[in-house]
Amino acid sequence: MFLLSTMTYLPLLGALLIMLLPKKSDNLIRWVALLTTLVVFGLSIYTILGFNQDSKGYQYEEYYKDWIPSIGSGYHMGVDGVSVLMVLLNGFLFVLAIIASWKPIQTRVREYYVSMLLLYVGLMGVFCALDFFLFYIFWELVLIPMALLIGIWGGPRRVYAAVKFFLYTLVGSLLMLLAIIALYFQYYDLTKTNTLDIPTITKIAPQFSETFQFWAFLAFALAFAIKVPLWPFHTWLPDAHTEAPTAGSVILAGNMLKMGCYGFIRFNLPLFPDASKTLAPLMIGLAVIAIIYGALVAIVQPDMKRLVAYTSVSHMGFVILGLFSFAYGLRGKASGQTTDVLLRDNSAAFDGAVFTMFSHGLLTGGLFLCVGVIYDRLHTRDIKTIQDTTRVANRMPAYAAIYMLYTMGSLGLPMISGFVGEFLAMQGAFRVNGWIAFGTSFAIILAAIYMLWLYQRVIWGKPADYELATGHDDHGHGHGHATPAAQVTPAPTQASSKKADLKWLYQSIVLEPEDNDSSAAASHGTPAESHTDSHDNDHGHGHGGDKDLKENGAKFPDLNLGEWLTLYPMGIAAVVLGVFPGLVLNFLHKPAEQITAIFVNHADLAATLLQQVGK
Amino acid sequence: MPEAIGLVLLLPFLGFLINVFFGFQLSKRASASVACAAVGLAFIAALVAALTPRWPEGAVLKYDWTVAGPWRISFGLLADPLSVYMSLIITGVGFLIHLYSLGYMDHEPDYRRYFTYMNLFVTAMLLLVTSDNFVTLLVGWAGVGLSSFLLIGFYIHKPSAVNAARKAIVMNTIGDVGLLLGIFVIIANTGAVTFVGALTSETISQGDWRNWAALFLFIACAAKSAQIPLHTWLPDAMEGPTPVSALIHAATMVTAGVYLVVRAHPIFGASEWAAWFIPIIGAATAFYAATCALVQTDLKRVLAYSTISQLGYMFMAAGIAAYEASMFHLLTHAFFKALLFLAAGLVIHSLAGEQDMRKMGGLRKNGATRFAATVFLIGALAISGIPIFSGFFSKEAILGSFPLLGEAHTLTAAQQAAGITPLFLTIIGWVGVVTALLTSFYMFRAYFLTFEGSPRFEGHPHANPPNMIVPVGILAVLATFGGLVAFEGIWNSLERWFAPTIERFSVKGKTTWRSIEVGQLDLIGLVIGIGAGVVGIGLAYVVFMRRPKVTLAPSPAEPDYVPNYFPRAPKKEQSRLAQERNYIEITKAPTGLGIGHYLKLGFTNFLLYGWGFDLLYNLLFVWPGKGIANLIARWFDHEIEQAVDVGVGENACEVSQIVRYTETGYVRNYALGILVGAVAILFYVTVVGLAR
Repeated sequence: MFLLSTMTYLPLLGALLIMLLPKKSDNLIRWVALLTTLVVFGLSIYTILGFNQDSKGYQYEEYYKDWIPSIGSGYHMGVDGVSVLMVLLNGFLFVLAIIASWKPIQTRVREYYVSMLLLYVGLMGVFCALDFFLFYIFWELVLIPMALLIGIWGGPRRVYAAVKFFLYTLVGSLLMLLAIIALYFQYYDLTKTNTLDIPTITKIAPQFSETFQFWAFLAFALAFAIKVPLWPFHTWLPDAHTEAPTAGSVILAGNMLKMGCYGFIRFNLPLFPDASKTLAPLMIGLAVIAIIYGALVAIVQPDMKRLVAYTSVSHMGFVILGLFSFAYGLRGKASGQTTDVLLRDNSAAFDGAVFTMFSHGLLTGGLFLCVGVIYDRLHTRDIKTIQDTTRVANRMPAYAAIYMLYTMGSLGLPMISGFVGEFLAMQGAFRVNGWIAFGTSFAIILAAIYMLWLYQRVIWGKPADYELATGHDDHGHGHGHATPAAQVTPAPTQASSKKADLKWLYQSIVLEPEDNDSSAAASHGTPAESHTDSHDNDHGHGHGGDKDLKENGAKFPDLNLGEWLTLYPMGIAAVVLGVFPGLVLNFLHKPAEQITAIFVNHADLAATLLQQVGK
Repeated sequence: MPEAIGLVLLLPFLGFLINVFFGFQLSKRASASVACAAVGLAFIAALVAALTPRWPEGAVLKYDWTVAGPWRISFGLLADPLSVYMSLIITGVGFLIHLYSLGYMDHEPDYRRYFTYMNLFVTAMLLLVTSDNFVTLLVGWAGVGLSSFLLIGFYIHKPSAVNAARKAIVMNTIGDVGLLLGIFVIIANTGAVTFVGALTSETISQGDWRNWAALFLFIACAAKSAQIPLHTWLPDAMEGPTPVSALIHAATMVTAGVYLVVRAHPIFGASEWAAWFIPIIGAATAFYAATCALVQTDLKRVLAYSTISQLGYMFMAAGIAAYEASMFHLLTHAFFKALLFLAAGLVIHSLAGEQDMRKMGGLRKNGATRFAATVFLIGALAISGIPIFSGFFSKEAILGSFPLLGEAHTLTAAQQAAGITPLFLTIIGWVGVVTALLTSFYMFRAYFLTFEGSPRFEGHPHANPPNMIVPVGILAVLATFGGLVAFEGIWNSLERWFAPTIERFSVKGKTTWRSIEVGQLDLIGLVIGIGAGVVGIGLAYVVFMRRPKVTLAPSPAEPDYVPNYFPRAPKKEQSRLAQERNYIEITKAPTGLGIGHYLKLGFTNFLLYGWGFDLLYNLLFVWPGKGIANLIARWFDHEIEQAVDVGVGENACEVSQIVRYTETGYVRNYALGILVGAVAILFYVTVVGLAR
């Protein structure tokens, strides 16, 4: 059983293989990368299918105790309910990220995919490692390829963004390293044995003094808060997102931000239960600020990608809100409540937090892909410019539809995954204090404003151009005004459009990416195009106002195969999770139960555990 | 067969899915037929469900939706008289409006998109009324908000439509948040989310959480049903296609708030706060909107304000626990308001998109619009509460629930606890009477301006196709005789119909539900009610038919005011605001008039702009909000960035600049350093050693 290690190191193998390939074979490189990620995705599905939701503790464990005996570090891999979900999310998003890079990345292709696969190694490892030493290696491993992705394949300010990203996260991780070393010595003081094994240390954790817990919590929390990112450590995120290539943004939002949240779940809560309770109000406060602040700032962003980046700040706030509402709710030991009661009352917050992690990966990843689609056609992300250029809804209906789905999911429409997480997290926060839920609820209203305003500007385009284009008839009735040109109905184009679709499919697979023929063919054949024509003719004003179409029509082909394959699976996944949240939530019972057990019983438990470890 | 309720929900959803996934493959006709058939069949299924001999105890068709630890929400459909009653209205009226849309939207290039959205709306609305718990209610609640957003903004090239759509969904999201918080209050206090579990909980009478729950839920109701202060989106929502206004913004979606109050009546009926604020807000909204409707020049905006006003009526009744009267008015209102909108749609369709009543007139005498005139008159008579027409019965039922003449009135427990006196109810009732008078006045103003008098329109009205005529005809019959459904014995049928719902939602056998009673309808009440309607019609006749100059004409110098009053047609593509600005300009045009003229003009404009709520909200929320967001984004966020990263970086540089001075390269400096260090260590060792 080397499943986890296989998943972690397969990408490394892929990267090595790519390095050996000749330089010019770009397509081969892409295929190797895609196959690697597909195999790992398959394995991650296999992992999650074989995962026993009802058993406590870690599964698929691999433990070689004497990896580095001098510091007590072992090679320990394993997943529990939370991390197995993150592994699946990794697997899914990386496949999509590779597909999404297919056409946009045309320079230094080999280096790009090597970085991508190395990033994959780090991210898989972070969620599987159960040894502090191993964990820290993976944690730092993530940093370098990501900084390269931003710094080499990014936008105009890429170097600034990459350096900022690197420095920020490095500061955090160094503090974490310090805290890990402190933990190591604290453990030695208590048991006179050396270990860096996470589950072992977790068992002894409740024995730590409150002061130690307090400072160690803060050190860990700072590292993770930067990664999440929590207000006020968020400023690297908009820059990194804005400058990163599309696939980089997807991975950054989808997986890397989750590392911070995962850190809170794996380390801060179980290792420092007392400090978690004491500092929960602080964390909740920061989370509420992040939620509102991110939403407010998002409203006025002029850059699409920056806007989505700020929504990330807002949504990740919900994760922290849920986690620490959960921790705060577990104070109940004093009031003599049993574990079961506490779990029943509070697990919603925990579930909401983890669910938000998962669904944010899908929805925000999807939003970044949507931005990428526009960027590839227009080479700008400036909302005003896009709005003034064209009316995307008419040019790219399939894109408009899927973008609508992500917009709605992101603003929390029920039946899409975003709602479930927000609902549960806010419900947990409401138990802590009604006013917290009341405060955060403003973010939902703001979300409706910024998401829909963005959608209207980007997709519906500039309304004013209606005046130029048609200038008649409020109600779209061409009644009695229709000219013979209106005979150009969609009907005759039906057959030809189908044909064109096939041709377009063929072309998008076979032809080289920059070939403009394929896009032109696509734009002429789609039913939507003929719609637009008949629409304008209906109004009897000919094509006077449709200069826009003539100039830009060819520039706006609807989604190509790669975009279909990334945008739609992700959207479908978000809807499936929104309708069947149990698919994810079922994995969270045992982790929530374990953390609750640590919180409730830790004082009594710790003494007995200490004796066991002492033996 | 109560299980048929599942089919009611499923069919429009299937229609939606077919249109989403295969819409492009289908012909225009086929796509529309799928949509219409889905809603039509759902109506038949609802009828089947209505014929249930015995209502099931629990939910039909359960499914575990969210399982969060031991805490779960199960999705279920509730088949009870109330949900079936609502389903019948939604699918019945919805089907007629779908049919009507076939003709109305015929020339629309985005025909399939329209029907896709319509089916989505019907699905969400049915989910709203048939769900058996608050969470799936919220799902439907947000779903109708979404489809309303999509349909208001259907003409995406119109700036006014786009803005109206955004305004609507922001207001509705405020409501969604209210509902969300209300649900949290309910979960925290009862531990249940199902209606049966939460609403029959005995904890309702303990503590005062019921007041908070009622308050939060009512925010949702006010947003959805356009009650003060969340009403401003509805008049703007008229930017959508007219059938949409008829279905969503008149007959069904906007009544969701009333439905929620009635559905959650164990909470609302027991809440002391709700006993005050619901009747007050309802009456205030009814009166407010009626005054605004007096001066509107856009035919659809008159009807929009009228809808707000009538919804206020329903809340007035629901606020004093007269839930049955409220639901009855909901039914008849769905008939006559849908009829009025569709009749207006006939006119607009005939005039190729003209909505301005100042550019209509005399349409009754025109062959193409004579039918529209007849049905509009029926609708106007119904809403004015003229006997025989449906509105008469429901309006009398509402007014009859109030002690208009200070007669004896039994207060509910909550009203007593809240300190409400019968005098308060009398005042609210009289606000209702005045509103009734205003209602018949503005409805007949609209009728006279549109259909009577001299023609002021351009071009020739076109005839309407039969698939638009037939649904309107059916609605006209319903608006005329629909009030008789409650006429078994007198006023008893609805009571018997709702009895199972009342029974199921009683807390310990007690209910706050009030049925319509025969005794409430004494002769004097009848006279007052009918009198208000007749007087309003008479006034409108006098003002607009006998002495037309009195109306809005600002210029006494011009005897024939109409052509001069509207010297320029407002540009169609202008935004609503621009049109109104244009209107002011025109009305200001005549000079040399006294102060009285300007006072009148100011007052007219005050009413025309809906008492300036939009301006107020812009001043209070929109502009400061944008300002704050800009401030934070452009300044504060930047400051943090400066402080945290640039600041740290620069400080590090400065520190190293200082430290740099120690690196002089002179041996003597280093030797001095070593000496100082050695002395310090010696000193430390000695002192510490001595201390030990």
